[in-house]
Amino acid sequence: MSTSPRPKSYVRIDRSGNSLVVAPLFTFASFTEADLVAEWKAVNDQLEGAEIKNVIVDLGEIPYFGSTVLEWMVQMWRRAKAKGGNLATCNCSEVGREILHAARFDTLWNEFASRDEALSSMSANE
Amino acid sequence: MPRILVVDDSAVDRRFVGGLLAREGRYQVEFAEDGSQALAQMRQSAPPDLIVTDLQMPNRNGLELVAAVRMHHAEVPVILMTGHGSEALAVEALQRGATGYVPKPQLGERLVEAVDEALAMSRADRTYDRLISCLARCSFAFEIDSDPSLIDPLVDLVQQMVAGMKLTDATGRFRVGAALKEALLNAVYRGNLEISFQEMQAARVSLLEGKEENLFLRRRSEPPYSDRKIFVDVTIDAHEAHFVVRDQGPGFNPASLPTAGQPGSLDPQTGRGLILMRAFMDEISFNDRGNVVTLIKRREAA
Repeated sequence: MSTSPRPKSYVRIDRSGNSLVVAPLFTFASFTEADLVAEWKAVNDQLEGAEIKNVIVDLGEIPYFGSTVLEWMVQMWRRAKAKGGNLATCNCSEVGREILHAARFDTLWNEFASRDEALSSMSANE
Repeated sequence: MPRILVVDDSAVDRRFVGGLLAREGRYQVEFAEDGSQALAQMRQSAPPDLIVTDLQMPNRNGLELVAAVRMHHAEVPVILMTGHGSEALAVEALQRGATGYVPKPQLGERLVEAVDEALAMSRADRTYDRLISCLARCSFAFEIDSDPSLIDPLVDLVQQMVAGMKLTDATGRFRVGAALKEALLNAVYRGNLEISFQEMQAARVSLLEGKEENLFLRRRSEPPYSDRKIFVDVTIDAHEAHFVVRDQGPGFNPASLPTAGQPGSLDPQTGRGLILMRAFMDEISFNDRGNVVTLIKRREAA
């Protein structure tokens, strides 16, 4: 898996095959829109790469998240779908799963216990 | 005997650091090879009393480990071991909540002292936690600008209080935090700054394209938006937490929002923030004007 380290980031981005693994490191409430947009641009640039089809959102670094992260996931899911791929989540906390369920997003994409399981499933569905 | 988890991908360094601590005879030393393994160990058994970690490791590095520990085990202090040239990362780690750092060449002279200091501070924090658990009732009120950077600290404080006063368990505090955060974001953006979802999307696209226009900053600096405050009243007792969030925007028609039980939707206009507020609070209600929301969280069953 290759990693794109950036000096100061609120999201960690890794690549594995044709999957992009995006791990939010904070819950985003406190950051300015410029910060958020910089993060989104970094993810977007990688998503636009020809070989990337799938997105895995690794939620293991944050105990919960809110509407901003949900909206972000929807945008990434739409881009992945447009490229013939899919989105999955992994390492979700108990409260995180409740949030996905409350928003009914758990019916839109699969949730895996680990990043490896998510990557295996994405590979198997190729 | 305090348990100390030493995290380093170098077996040589693990042995060296473990040896420094073990020879004191006052600590129980455990090991992990990287941040991911450390977190996995912490999921399987009780978290250690303190973590000593290398900064640069494969999988999860020290910086990411600090972030994860801060989120999941905030009571566990983390001391970083830094190599030459990693000072900037160490500063960022301190900003993210690391307790301190010791340069690797100075481990022999300074590590034990740093560990003892961090453990003493941690013990003091636990005494403070015991005191908070004895608090029967607290009430506080904030009057804040429409500044999103104040939201997380306020939510953190509330989470500490509801968990400290045993109104919720450690997980339940995050439910309260998620709901309150949505109420505050709503008050800032939809309420005081009057930025609709469509305007927010358009402004993000504009920023993404590198255009100078920044709707968020402009609204925060021009009247009437810049004059508006958010008023947050919090009352917590043994039975419930009661939050009132009031903004000074024009409000909205609460009847236009989806009712409880309606499914979420990919259309954000259905109010995902409201869905989360309803999911995690026992009661929420708006005033007629739609600029005051009251949220109530009752004590969770043990």
